[in-house]
Parts: sequence; structure tokens; C-alpha cells
Amino acid sequence: MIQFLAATLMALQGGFPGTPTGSRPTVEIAWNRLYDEPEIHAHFARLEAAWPELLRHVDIGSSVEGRALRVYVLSDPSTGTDQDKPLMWIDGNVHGNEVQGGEAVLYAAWYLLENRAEPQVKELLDGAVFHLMPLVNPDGRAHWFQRAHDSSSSRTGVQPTDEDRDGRLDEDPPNDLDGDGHITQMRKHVPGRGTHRQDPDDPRVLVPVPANDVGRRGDWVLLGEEGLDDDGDGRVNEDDVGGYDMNRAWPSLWEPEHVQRGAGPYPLYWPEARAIGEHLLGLSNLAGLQSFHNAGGMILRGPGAEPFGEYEREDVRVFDELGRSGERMLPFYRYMVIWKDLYTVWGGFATWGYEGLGVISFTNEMWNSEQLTGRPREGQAALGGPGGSQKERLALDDRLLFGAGFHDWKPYDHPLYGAIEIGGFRKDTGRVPPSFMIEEMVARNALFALEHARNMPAVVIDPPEVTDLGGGVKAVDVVFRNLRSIPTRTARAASKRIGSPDVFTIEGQGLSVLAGGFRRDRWRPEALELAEREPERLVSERGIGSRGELRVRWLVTGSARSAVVRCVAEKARDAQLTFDL
Amino acid sequence: MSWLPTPLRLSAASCSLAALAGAQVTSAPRVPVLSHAELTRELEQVVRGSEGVAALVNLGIARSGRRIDALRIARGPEAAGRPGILVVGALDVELAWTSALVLDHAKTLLARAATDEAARALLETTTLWLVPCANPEAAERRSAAPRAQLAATGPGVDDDRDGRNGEDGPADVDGDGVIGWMRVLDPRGEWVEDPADARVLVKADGTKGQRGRWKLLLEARDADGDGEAGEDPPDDVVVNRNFPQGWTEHAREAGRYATAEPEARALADFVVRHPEIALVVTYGLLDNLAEKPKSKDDAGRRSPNPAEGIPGADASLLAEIGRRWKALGGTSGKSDALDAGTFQAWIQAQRGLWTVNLAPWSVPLDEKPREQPAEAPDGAQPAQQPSGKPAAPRKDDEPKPSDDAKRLRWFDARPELAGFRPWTRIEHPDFEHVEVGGFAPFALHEPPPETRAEIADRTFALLSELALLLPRVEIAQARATDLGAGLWRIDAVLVNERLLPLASALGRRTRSVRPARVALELSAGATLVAGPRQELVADLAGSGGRRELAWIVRTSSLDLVHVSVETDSAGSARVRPEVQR
Repeated sequence: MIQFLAATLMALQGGFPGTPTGSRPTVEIAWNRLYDEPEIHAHFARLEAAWPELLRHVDIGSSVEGRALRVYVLSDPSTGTDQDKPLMWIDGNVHGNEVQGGEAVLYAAWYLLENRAEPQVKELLDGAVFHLMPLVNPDGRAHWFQRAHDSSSSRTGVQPTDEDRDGRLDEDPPNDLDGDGHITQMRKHVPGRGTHRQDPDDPRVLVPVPANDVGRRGDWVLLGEEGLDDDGDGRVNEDDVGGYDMNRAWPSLWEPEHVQRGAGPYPLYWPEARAIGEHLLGLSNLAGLQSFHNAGGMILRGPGAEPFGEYEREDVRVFDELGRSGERMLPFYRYMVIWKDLYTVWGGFATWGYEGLGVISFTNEMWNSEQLTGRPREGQAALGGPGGSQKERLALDDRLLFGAGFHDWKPYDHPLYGAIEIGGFRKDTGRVPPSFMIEEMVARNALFALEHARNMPAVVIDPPEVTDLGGGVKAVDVVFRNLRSIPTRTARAASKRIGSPDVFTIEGQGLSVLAGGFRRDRWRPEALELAEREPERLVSERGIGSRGELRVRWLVTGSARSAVVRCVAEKARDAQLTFDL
Repeated sequence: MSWLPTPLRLSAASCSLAALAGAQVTSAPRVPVLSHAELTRELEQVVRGSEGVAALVNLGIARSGRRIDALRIARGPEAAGRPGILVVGALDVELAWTSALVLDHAKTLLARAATDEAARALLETTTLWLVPCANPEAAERRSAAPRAQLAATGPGVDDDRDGRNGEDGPADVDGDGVIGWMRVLDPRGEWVEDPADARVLVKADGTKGQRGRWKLLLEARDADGDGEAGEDPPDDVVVNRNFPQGWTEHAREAGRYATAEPEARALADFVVRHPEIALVVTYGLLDNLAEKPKSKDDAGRRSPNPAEGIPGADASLLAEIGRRWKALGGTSGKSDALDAGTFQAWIQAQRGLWTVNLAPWSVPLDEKPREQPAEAPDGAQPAQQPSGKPAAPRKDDEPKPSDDAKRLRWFDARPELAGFRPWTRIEHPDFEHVEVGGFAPFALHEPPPETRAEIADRTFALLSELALLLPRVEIAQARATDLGAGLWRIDAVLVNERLLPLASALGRRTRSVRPARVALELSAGATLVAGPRQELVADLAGSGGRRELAWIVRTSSLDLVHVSVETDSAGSARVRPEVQR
């Protein structure tokens, strides 16, 4: 038996193409856990050790608490330099509590490396470079893992901020009164004088007593999150650690604090955002952007605020195609426009990716209750909200986790409220999946980002047609094709003059270029947008569209027997073709 | 070049030589034009001679590597809430000379503090932060050769979208040491001669049958051979377009993101780090004292600040400051400069600080002519009235001079300033009919040397007066009333006797000015029975604005009770209540 097992293991191939038999990963990573900051980097270090020729990292700065802002670069140098290939950016965890984005970024790296020999993966890796940043906000993540929190706290970075404007910084955070490592809720039993009563079927749940004319009152009051009035100002938990939002800090459509809470005094104010902003602005080949957040089941695109108007029509078609594709890959996700379908966000990251950098950009909100129940929200009680839905959530928690997600109410003697009870859901429920669903969620999301990457522009040149026009003059007709959904220049980049325009050239020894231009009509060769100057070097602001073609005609003369045509585009690999005249 | 008319070369040269002689040999003018190196030496001298009252504080390093420094000047106790005044010069390249104006404030203050009451009060009650040269590149541009008034000092973009960056910028084509204006005879030109003075060009008005004759450009070649002159300069970003309020994404002069320029960020960070700053005074292109600022009151609390104006209450107070400025003999120029993306707009609209912006000098448009008008350098008749009276109303059929024509008239009367360079045809290597001339670089922004001392005195007087207008929160009364049984009622009145309220309307709206923090301090033996432990007062009007607060305490002695108020920039106080009679 043992011998048989050993023989089977020997026969297993390295790699992990997502199918369950016949192969095993080179680097085993347990995808049923969430990892703190050092563990994420440790897993990446194992990948770097296994594939040193493909994966390396650069530190682009330090967080407020001095943690590395680390970008992993995944590319195959044997197929060209990083600068020559279109670049896909994938990040996670800008909100410190929205941790699973980090695992999704790790999964993307792991999947590409494990499967690098698979033909489709190889094709992608041959023609693209990935910049992977699992932890945009490593301090927020570390605080969320290591300190008492709820599912929504530690969203911020940790630079001290005066949220209550009293001149003192971070002096009244929530307090883990019961010492269980989680910030849960406080409630007090006030028989006949309260606003809530216990649910008759589940005494852990408090339900509000409806307004009535018969004097019926509840027996309980809710007192909010665990905490004290640390600074003696008469308020509880009003100035927590940090207190800002690094997904409101980006330059496009940025608005100050009174319009957009958490935005800071100016764009890219915090070192994390600043470092990433500068890094991305330095990447002229950036051609796709994906950011992972944690709750809602959404594939989001901008605009973030109504005054922007709608995105360019040609680009919306590309967004729609990828977004709909995502809806197929990600059950219970909806493809949405941020301001219209969610809420207004000024200065968001993915919106900057498109509006500022001119790149097709998405934000995914990864987890939602539908994935847990396997049923659409319609027809089931929504989970996680007030009242009855909490009962549903507890029922599932009892069955699928044997109640591990909920800390039952326990008595506590509070200095202000007296005898109270403390209890509620742990921080690692509600916005992150239970352990048994983590791999599915990160895999589907990572693969959505890779689908995005596969749609970065790729230019090929059809064999040119050469027509003798007599008198020693020849017409050279060339078709430059973009095989992918994302254009070489988005309409946004073209209209706002972001980056460099595409350049199309012809040259040859003894070749003299008399005229040249972009053809406006496939059937009428004389319909040309003639270049005013430098006909051998045609410049196009709009580039080659989504799975589009750009037709060029050059009129040439001279002694050349052959010539070379080239397309030089920032967001695609350079293409060139030598042909006979 | 030899074709340049000799008299012109002599007059230009002799003028600058005279200025140099004045600066170096005879008594130096009180407010010279300083290079960055000269300014740095002067600042060090001021610090050395200040007996510890002045200190040099570094704000940051400019893109050029030069230091941006502030002089901190303060004497006397460092009481909490001591207000700061920030004075900023030479942010705009055009007003590089104002670095010496700000430097002069330091010298004047230190010299007069012994004898002058206003100066002594300024020194002892406020902290002055003087940033003479917020944009070191401005100072360098002013003293560099060839002399050119180029506002952009930050990185260039590909203005002409040919895929090449900064390849065709302004140039001293005629080699006379100045990059001036160039007019090119061209049927596509938009400009025609002003009928009132043919040396001045005005935009042709097609609706009145006018046809453009000239292209008006900065002196340049067509370095890249594309038919356009100087259309892709190496620098594009203007530091004072790089601040967040009204920042225009993708505009060539605005920068990659708001505060991307190190000079802008240094200034922004300084302001954020110094909540004691109550007032900012800038010398630049913008002016908000010449006329009452436009106002608009209907912005919602969470909507972006309207570009059309500031709240009416703020506008009225600025108008009052404007009246006081005029009472001091101040004659700042009406500003038609855009405020989008400027430091001044950010300070006012997002930081909510009181901002006094002065364009300290402009060419008078309606000055009474001198008694003996000098002949214009090129022999043209100066268009001036012979009498000393203001110009009589013109008849409708006489051409009305444009503002530039009026400016030229002013320079005609002052040939020693060499403010206008007569149009002179040159042999241009790239264009047919080219004339070089026009207003000399910096001429429209630099006051004649002999008037600068007067400007310095007036602006210093304004600064001294402004210090007395800043809000100051005092406890006017703190009364104790015996309620019996050991209970006392404490009544306190906060009052602000100064002109300006605790926070501007914009400061309150943006929540960027911290409220005053009022507390009842109780020593052991005294307990609070009723009233707020801490009250945050965000709004305290000026000119005697009051706020009443009350508490009930149980205490054996009023010595155990103090009412205290703390502010960031409007003083602090702590008083023992006195028994009410």
C-alpha cells in the first residue's frame, strides 16, 4: 500500500491547473486560512525561492509604522524586458480589515507560477508583466490581526488623527473589555424600560419593540460597541486609532474631508498611497488594474461621483465585456457603477486608475452572504443586518461552524453603565468567509484578474500588400491588429492625452517615403488622413481599438528591396514585420 | 546679432548696468531682486543678528535641489494658542522679487521692535513664519540668462503629441540675452494691432470684421521642424497650479496630481503641521483686497466648494480688511489671475484659514501723466494727455486703448525702466516675417526700484494691523453663585473682541479649524453635578461675539474650580470663578 502511494506521488506532475487529479503544487499553501502580514510575505518568499527567475520584489516605501510596502514583480525575462510588455497591477487590502484581498493577490501569483507550463498560462506570462501588491495597508492589516477589532474596524491606516477635534489624537478607541480579542457589543437588562426584547426562539438576538399605544416596552437597551469614555469627554469610542480612508486619497475627483470623509488634507497624503501613486505614475506600460476589497459581491467600476458624467463610450464597452465576464466567473457578484449602484466615492483608487491613468480598472468586493447560502439574496432573509437577519446568520453559524463565529453574551461590570452584557460576532465573520470557502473566493477573484490581464492589448501586423502605382512609386498597405479587448490607447487616455501616443513607422535601406497616413476607408485607398510631416513616422492618439485594426498606407519609392514596419505602443509589446517590396 | 539696432542694444544694456551698479556699488536698494543664493545669505544674516528671536526652519527641498526655508520670528512667552501668521513670497515666478519684500519684513520687524509699538506687539504676541521664496526656481529664473519670464518650473509633458517630450521650447533666437515676445506675420494668426497704439496687439474680433495678422508667441525656434514655434517646452508644470482646490486634472500646467511638485507639497505639509497658523499672507499674482471677493452661499455641507465664490460673511470681512489696506495707502492691483489649483485657493477653501492675497504692484492703468513725458524709445508718440488731469472721456469714434496700450503709455514715460522692447524684425531661421519685442520679462510685475521701499512699509503696516484683527478667545466673566448645600453655579462667558471670528465660515464648513475647547477643571474635592465635561466651541463671532456656558459643581472652595479655554490659534485662558454679588 505504501509502495503504491509512493509510486502514485512520484507520478504526480508539478503544477496545479485547477484540476484535482494527476498533479500537485510545487509550493503547498493552505488556502483555508487568512494570513497576517509576515505570513503573506513568507508565502511569497517561498514562491520567490521556487521560481527565482520569474518572481522578485521591490519595496517602494514604508508604512506609517515602518512596514515594507512590497510589490512583487512576476514576469519571464526570457521573453522580453518588463518595460516592453503590458503591465497588470493587482492589489489588495487598502482597507486594513479587508484582508482577503491579500490572499487573492497571493493566489494570482501562485496560480501563474504553478501553471506556467500550461499553454494558456504560458501565453499570458510570455506577453505580460504583473505587479502584485498584496498589502496596500500593512499596518491596518497587522492591527486587525493582532489587536481587538470588529469586522469593520482597522479599515484606516494608523497615523494618529484627531477625529473628535479636541486636540488629542486617537485617545478614545473602543476597548476590549472582556479581553476576548474582539470588539463586540454591549447590552443592558432594564426590565420594562428598554427598547428591545429577546427573540423568543433565540435569546442571543435582540429585536426592537415596535411602536405601540399600549405602553409595551422592552427589557433591554443596546449600548453600542465595547468601550469606555477613555478621555472623559462624555463620549465613548469617538477617537479610534487612525481615522481616515486610503481609498479616498487618490488624485482624480479628489475632494477634501468635509465632502469626502477620510480623504485627508490633500491627495496621496499618507505614505502608503503616496508610494503607490508615484510607483504607478512611473509605469508607462500599465495596461490593467485590479483592486480587491472584501464585502458585497461586486465588480465595481467608476465613475465614483455623478458630476464626472459617464466614461467614454468605447471604454464602457470594454468595461462591460470584462464586467459581464466577471459575473459569469463570480457567482452572486454584480457588475456595478460605483456612484450609481453603490454610493458616491470621491478620490477612489480604481477610479483614478481609469480617470487619471487611463487604464481599465476594477475593484472587487469579494465576500457576500449569497456565497455562503448558495442562494440569491432575493427570497432569503438578508444576512448581517438588524433584527431577523441576525437570527438567520446565527442559525448558519450554528450549523456550519458549530457556533464558533459568535461569542455569547457574558456579564460585565461597566464603570458608566453598571451591570451589562458583552457579546456578538467575532471580527473574522461577516466580511470574510468561513475557512472552508476561502479558496473558492480567492481563486475566482484571482482568475478574474488574470482574465483582465489576458485582455491587455497585443498587436500583430498582417503581411503588407504592396501595389505598384507606376513611375517607381509603390503603395504599401499595412494592417495593424489588436487581438485583445483592451485598446492600445483607451478613449480616456486619448481624449486626455495621457501617456504617449502610438507610433507606426516604416523604414528600409534606400527607401524614400513620399507620403503616408491612416486609411479611413477599407475600400477606398485614396481616403487617407495624410501626415503633415514625417510620413514615415505616423502618430496616433487613439491607437488601435478593442480587437480593432488600424490601416496604414505609405507611398514609397527608391531602391529598397525590403522594408520594416513597426508599431510602438506603450501598452502593448512592440510589433514589427520585415517584408519584400 | 549684428542686425540689431545699436541704440536699442545700448539702452537695454545701459539700463541693466545701471541697475547692477545701484545694487553693488552705491547704496543697495532696500528691496532688491535677489537670487536664491543671495537670499540664503541674507536669511542667515538675519538669524545671526536676531539674538535668538529668528530661526531658520526648513520646509523642504525644491525640485532643483534648493532649500525652501522659513524664518520663524517670535519673542516672549510661547503661550498655548499663540497665533501664527504665515507670509509667503515668490511662489509665482513672475513675482520672484517678492522674496526680498518678505525678507524686508523680517528686517523691519527686528529693527523697529525696540521703538515701534505695533512692531513690538507683532513680535511678542504672534509667531511669524516668513517664507520669502516658496519657489526657489522662481528666484533662479529671475536671475538666469537668458532672461525669460517662464512660469512653468515643473516637469514637461508632450504638449504637441508627437511622442517626443520637451523638444521645442522658448529660445533666445536673436541672442540678445532675453527671451521676449515674438510676433510672426501669419494669416492664421489671431492678433491685430491695437488701433490706439500699433505696438500693442489685441485679439482680432471676427464678429467685427477684424482679421488676425499676427501670431503672438514667446521667442522660439521651430526646433523639431513641425511648423510650430516653441510648442513643446521642456517645463510645463506651474507650482502654483499644483494645489488641490480647483486642481485641473490633465491640464499641462497642473502637474500629475495635486501636491506632486515638491515645492507645493512642502508648503502644504507645513500648513498641515502648524495648526497655530491663523492667517496667511501671500504676495503673488492673486489679489483679494482690491475688490470685495465674489461670494456664494448655497453650497451644501457635503458638496464641493463652489468655484464661483466664498461665503458672504467671509467676503464681507475680507472687504473690511481691504478698506483698511486702502486706508494705509495700499494700492494693490485688481487680479484677473485664475485661482484654480493655487496655494491661496487651497488655504482658503479647504484649510479654512484667513487669507490675504496681495498683488503688491501693477502698472497703473489710469495714472496722471508726468509733467514732461519722455519720448518713447522707438519714436512713437506717447498717447498721453498734455495736462495733469485725468484723461477726458473719449468720443465713440476714437479708438479706446486696450489695457496693454495704457501700460505701454506708462512705460513710455519711464524709459529708464526699459519695460517695453520695440518690435524689431529679425532674421528668423524658421519663419519669414518675425519681429521680437513687447513687454520685457518681469516688467509688468516688478515695481520700479524706488517705489519698493514704500511698498515694503505699507505691507508691513498691514501685517502689523492684521495681527490685531486675529480672533482672540477670552473668558470675559467667570462667576460663581452660591446655591446652598455646597452647590455652586458657575457661569462663564467667552468673548472675542477682535474683528475676525474664531473661524471663517469656510473654516467652520470644512471643519478644518479646530474648535475652542472649554473645560471646567475640578481639583480633588470638587465634583461636577451638571454641565458639560468638555465643550467644543466651533463658532465665536468677532467684534464682541459671546458664548455663555454654565455648570453646577459641589465644592468646599472655589479654589478647586477653574474654567479653561484652549485654542490652536486664538489664545488660551484659565480663570478661577469669582463670587457673584
